[in-house]
Amino acid sequence: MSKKVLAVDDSRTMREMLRHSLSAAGFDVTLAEDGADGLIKLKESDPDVVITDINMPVMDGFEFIENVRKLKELNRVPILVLSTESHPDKKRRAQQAGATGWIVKPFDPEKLVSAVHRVSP
Amino acid sequence: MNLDEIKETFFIECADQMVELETGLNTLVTDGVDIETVNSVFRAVHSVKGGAGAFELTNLVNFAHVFENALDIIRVDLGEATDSRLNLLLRAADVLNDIVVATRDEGEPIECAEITTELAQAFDISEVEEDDPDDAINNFQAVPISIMDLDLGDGGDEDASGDFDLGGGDGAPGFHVSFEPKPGLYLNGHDPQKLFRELAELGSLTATCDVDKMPVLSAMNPDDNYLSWSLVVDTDGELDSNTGEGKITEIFDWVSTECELSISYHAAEGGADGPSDNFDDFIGDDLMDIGEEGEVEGEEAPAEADLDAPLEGAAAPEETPAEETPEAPMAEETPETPIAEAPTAEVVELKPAEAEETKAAPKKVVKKTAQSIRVDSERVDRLINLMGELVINEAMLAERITNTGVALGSEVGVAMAELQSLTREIQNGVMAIRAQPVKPVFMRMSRVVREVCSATGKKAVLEFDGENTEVDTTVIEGLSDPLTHMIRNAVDHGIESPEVRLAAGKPAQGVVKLVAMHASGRIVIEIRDDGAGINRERVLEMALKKGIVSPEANLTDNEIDNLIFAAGFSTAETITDVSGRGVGMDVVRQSVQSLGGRVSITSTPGHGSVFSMSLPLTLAILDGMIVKEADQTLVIPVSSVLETLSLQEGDVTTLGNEDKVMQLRDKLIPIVDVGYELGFAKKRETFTGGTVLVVEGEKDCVGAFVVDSIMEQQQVVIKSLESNYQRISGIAAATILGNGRIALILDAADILSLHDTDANNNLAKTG
Repeated sequence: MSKKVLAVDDSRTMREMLRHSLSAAGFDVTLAEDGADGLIKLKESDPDVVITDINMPVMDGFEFIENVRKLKELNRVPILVLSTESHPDKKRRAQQAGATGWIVKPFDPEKLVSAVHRVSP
Repeated sequence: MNLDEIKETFFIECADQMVELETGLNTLVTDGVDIETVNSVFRAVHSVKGGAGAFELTNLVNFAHVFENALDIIRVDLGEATDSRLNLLLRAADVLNDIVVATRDEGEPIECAEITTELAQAFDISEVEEDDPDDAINNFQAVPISIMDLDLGDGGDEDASGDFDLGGGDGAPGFHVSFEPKPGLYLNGHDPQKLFRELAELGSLTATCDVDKMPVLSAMNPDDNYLSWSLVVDTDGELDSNTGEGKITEIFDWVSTECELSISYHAAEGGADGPSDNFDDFIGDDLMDIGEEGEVEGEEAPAEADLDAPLEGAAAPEETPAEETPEAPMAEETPETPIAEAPTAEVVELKPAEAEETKAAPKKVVKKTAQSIRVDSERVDRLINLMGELVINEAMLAERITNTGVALGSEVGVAMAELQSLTREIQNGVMAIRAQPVKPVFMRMSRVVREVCSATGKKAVLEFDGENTEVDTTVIEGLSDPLTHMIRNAVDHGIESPEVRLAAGKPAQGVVKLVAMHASGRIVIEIRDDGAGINRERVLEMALKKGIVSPEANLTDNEIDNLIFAAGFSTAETITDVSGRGVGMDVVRQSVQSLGGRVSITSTPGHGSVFSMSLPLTLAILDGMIVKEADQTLVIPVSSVLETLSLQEGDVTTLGNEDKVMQLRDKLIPIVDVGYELGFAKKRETFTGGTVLVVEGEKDCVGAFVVDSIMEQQQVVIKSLESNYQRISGIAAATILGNGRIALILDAADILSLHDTDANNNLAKTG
């Protein structure tokens, strides 16, 4: 059974890029538009790995990750941050929020897929 | 979606972001600086940059990057947002927009070096980073996802079996890693097993699990971690000390703050120099402070950087019972498997430090756009077409029911009435789907004002009102051109130069106000300026010279003002490099008319002018007055009918040769013999007893349309003649009636102007 990935990004372009790259690698992809949407889709889709943007409206990536880690179930799902930001402060912030790994945008599809494999159960 | 489609999506998204950017920047200029708007502006540019990066659109990425850096300075400190900087950002937004468009259309690259330098200087951004395009793009190249980047040597590949060699021992040559996860490692979704697998790809791996800290079951906290590992990776000399440590560090990159980690290298020949039996000594000797890894850890991360610091937060108190347990009840070492199951827990509590972070985190950001879906416009068009068919069919059904003589109050009659009201509701709903606020078009006008100002040295600011007024997208699309021209005109001809304004006791900066509102089923857009108003003498002089009006004509002020819309009025003499682009205001009038709209101007000398445009809310359906004329069924838009009456003996007066006019209260209005005017009927002998529709054309121009009879009023679906046949003057479009017959929809304004031209009326051509 193919592994499920939830990708959260406010940019439709990025969402479609993620879907494109991950589906091609055989993942079952669910998309969400922001952190709040991500929390809903997380419960619906029960993903093996979550990929999230940081800078999003409504609920940003940090808050989203923190909220996931506070869930009763699904709180151990690996969460990869996908962001154009690469400042150490931001990375640390993400790590403190509970992020599993960090990928810098724009991403190389192959590396993205490897990263997902790297953290997926 | 394939990549091309995604790219298309990207540009559509870009267009939205550009509106967001422009709107946001304008808000910052006019309403002052607030962090939410700054964030939304930042996000817009950020999003463009992100997408552009994905498609390797270097120019776009580079400029967006500089833009973003500038915005970041304001984001960090709102006090940095000076007026001059914001105005520079507005200009930069124009350039960014140009680059987006040029990139999309694969046109000539846009020159942006100048504004880039300006931005760099104004925001004091270091040039070194921004000016070298290669450098800038490098900043965005996907930073390698470290582990996957492992460049295994030939030997490495052979060893990359993933098997764990459990036979290795202390003092064995290779890299010695001591790894003690903190509880946070598991909480963040990591799994030591995966890390070990990656280590094993570097060479043969020996893993030893240390269970010394494992407490008795009753003292065990499932959220805590009691296990640590000593790992030896033997790369068989393939990796030297530095390279190997670097690669191992990369593997542990993502967990570096979530574990105690030390790495050391033992050369093969110095086999005796193995790791000490004493685990603590081992750490002590080869302590590798994670904090020193700079790029992974900020220098300002004292808590994580200090290995000696107690485990943070909640983990710390839990540690105590574990340490107090003198002897672990289990075996000292479990060589069987280095892969311990991560402790699982149902409840994860945030560490206090994290909890604080959460509070400090920027809270929900205002989402400017309401919940919305994106639908292919073709689907909506199809729905609207079907809607049109439904309206026609409903009309047919209604007509047939009426023809069978069924009473309105009968069951069938009532059901029909219900159906009609439902259809109308559905129709409103369907039309609402295509309704969009005029805001995006309005926002584009700020740029027009900026450009005209910089070209003419005038000062003007554009203000908005009612920009959220909704109108059909097809109308919006057609708005941009006439609006641009009128705005240009308002600034170029309306607003005076700062000196003149000051001399006239006005503020140096002029105001152009763009207003949208709904009025009697139409949208009215006004462009008000506080400039000098129309120079009537000059306009009249020009019009006389061009033969647009005859010298005998006695025109009201309003009529003179509106001469500027007359065909052929705009001449080289009035063309400046700004508003004159070879087209005059008559082109504006034509394009507004083609949208079924009207345009006029009122002006007060010294106080400014108001361009007023009135447009239908939709181009798909209209309320029509169905009339009969010489056996033909015609439709006159209800919006142009002022009143209906019947002509009595003595109402009609003949002017001059053959022109007939009628007295309408205190006014004489021309009589238009519709069938004759359109050329399908003979001229009427007498108008007495004729049915008259008083219709309104351009600029309060009123006429009396004489027809045989008025049938009814009903909604008709507009079918374009131009796209199906060709344009016929006097006819706006066609429609299909309830009886299945085609009827032409009259363009009242056009017929009036035809009539005027025929009659060689003095005021004429302006209509």
